[in-house]
Amino acid sequence: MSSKQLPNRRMFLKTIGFGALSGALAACGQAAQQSGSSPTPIEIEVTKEVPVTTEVEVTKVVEVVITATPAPKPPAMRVTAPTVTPQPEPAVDLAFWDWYGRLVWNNQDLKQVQVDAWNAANPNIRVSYLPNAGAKEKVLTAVASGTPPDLLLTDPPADYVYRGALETLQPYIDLGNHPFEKDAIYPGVWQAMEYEGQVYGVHKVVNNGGLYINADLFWKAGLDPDKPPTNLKELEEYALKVQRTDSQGNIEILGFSPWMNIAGIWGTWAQAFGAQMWDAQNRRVTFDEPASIRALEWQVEYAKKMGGYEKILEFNDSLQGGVDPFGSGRVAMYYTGPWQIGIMQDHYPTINYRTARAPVPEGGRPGSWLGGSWLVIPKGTKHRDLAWEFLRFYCGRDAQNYEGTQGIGFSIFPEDNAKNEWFKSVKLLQPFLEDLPNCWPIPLIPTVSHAFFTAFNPMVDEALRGRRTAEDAMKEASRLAQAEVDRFLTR
Amino acid sequence: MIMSRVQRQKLKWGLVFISPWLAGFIILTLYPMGASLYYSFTDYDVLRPPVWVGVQNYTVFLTQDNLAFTAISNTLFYAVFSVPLGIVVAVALALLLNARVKGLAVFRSIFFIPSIVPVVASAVLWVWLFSTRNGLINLGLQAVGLPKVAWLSDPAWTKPALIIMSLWSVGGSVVIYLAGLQDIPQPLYEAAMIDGANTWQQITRITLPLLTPQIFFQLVLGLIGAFQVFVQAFILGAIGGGALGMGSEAGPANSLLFYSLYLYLNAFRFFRMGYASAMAWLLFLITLALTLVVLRSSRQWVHYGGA
Repeated sequence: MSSKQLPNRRMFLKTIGFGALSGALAACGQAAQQSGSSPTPIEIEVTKEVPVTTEVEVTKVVEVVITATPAPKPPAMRVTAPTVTPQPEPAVDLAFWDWYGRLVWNNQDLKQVQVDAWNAANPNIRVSYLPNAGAKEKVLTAVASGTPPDLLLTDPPADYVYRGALETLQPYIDLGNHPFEKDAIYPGVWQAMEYEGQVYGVHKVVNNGGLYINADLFWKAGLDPDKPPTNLKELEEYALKVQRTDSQGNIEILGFSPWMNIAGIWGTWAQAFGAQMWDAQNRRVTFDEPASIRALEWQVEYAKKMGGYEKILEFNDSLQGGVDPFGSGRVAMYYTGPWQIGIMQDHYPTINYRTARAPVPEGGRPGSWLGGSWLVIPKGTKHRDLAWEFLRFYCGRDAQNYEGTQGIGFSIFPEDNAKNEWFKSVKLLQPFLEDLPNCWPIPLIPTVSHAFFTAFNPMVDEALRGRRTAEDAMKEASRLAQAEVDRFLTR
Repeated sequence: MIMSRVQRQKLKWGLVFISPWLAGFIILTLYPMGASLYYSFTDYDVLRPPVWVGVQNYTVFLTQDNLAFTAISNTLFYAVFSVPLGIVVAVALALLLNARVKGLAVFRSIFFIPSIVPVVASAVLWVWLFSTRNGLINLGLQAVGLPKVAWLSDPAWTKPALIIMSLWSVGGSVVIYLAGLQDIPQPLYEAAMIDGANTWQQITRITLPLLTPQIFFQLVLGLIGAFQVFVQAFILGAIGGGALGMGSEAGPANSLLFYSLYLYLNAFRFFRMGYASAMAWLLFLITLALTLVVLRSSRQWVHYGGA
């Protein structure tokens, strides 16, 4: 996440409360929650430096306004819930905690709407939704004391799964009266639902990373925004062309940063280069795979070409708090999720931009990691069966489709996304949809937050600062992460 | 000890009257302390029952944990610079605010205000002040021809930045020094003036020696506070995060990994409660030892006037 987008109180509390881990995923679904002022966009001269006639330029601009702006609002939709029969007597209350906040979009409180639909259909199974209630220490304490919430929306559930804090959903999955068939769900999504052969949670609305391109900056540099970079080599080339530095060598407009917003978190680049990062069979952290080292070497080289890691950090530091760096025209290419479309629509409607598939090296693994939330049932709930009934609805096809369409995310069922007429009409969403089948889960390491935020990311930083070689950094990251995994699994 | 009936009666009522405090102390302080001492000898992750591991947490922290060394040295660095600097600045401010000038109450209020600004809010403010390109501090440096400093993204400068930030809230100690200054008997100054002492001599020979009880008090509190420095580092790590690149939330290259922050990360990020408890007890021992050293040394340099 770009932690420069601060003023939103919820984002702020998240940052404080969960640190980088939540920040990473908090961005997902953030579209609807961006509040605050719309800053004046930076004006950019388009015509002067482009070796094309002015007339052609003007035609292009007009064209862009038509094609780049998505249909302003998704179609009105209703979501209806099935009635569970028989209804329990006496009535039961289910507590539903959310690690993230409300999803408010086009004046609709999307998660609440779904819960309300459920409550209308099931008067005796009342679900009460509590946003911002998923701090891990709070949930674990609640589970330990025998008073867990009945349902929990969470970020990657590995930390809970391996502590035995969740009910396995496998017995329900085995019954078969649900839509969660392995073949009906994106492969990467399914992988992240299953831990050592047991399903522990169902993904609710999925999103992936893609590349946002500022068309005006591209034209100004003599590039065609409709021909996005297809690999990292082209990305580098274009980034250098669009980047602008002042007389003192300070970056004024950044071409691309592999470490801004969601780029670079959860080992994006290592995975794009083909690294697996986790060997589930042998329970080994494999941050030191050759692909992972190559990915880091690329990052080190890239930083040098762009003027040095320190210059990029200094640029990050120069961004105004609360202003989106892409929306304000400070960054030409930006790696983030589909929710950025909502941010652009709400706050930067005059910027011409395009989207493209997530950049990967030539011959690399296409796609990005998959973000979103998982709905799980914490261990010890007295209403496991009823919680499952709600899960079946909330993560079912209608509810996924509803929240995906209304909140600019995607259903976990590819078939429904393919049938979604609104998605089809929004050109900007296509690169994300094309990539989804290739996307991979956040590595399923049992101590995933420790592995990335204490071992992997700091070591990437060390290499970028020239304090370690890429190989040395990745070996050390592997060692640190493995030690924690071993300590955790052998007790 | 044999008590009379009256004494027992008095004891009973005494206990009844302090029972609200007593209950609070036992439930909210004594029990958690005892529990954390117990957990410090276990491997405990909140959810699974604790497993007794003896002194392993302590030995691992002291001998095998690389980050422990980083955390301790960062904390020492901070303490060694921030505590003396804080005292010097606070005493200097107190001397200035003790002068008889117009609008003194206003000045005193102004200097005290930073101490009542919530630390989170002031940390956010400082993130802006420290901004490399647009921050006021760097603009000031450049105005006098000095180079820009990457305060929050250069590992060499993050701790100095935090120390500068800590000086901002010396208002609290200024008030205490001011009270101490009022306490110094005027006749001493009058006598010194008659003997021809100038202002500097009066400060070094009268004011400072007689201010040593307050300095001593602030030194002890400052040391304890410095070893527990947490919020500022936590906020700078989290909010300044955008400028910190791929580094951890403990600042670039772990340069803001202070003891308390590392303790927090172990407890609430990695759920190594036993380990974190052991760290807490070690911190207690370190602080206790340092306080005792300062206490012992105080006989040589603290002068209690009047008594």
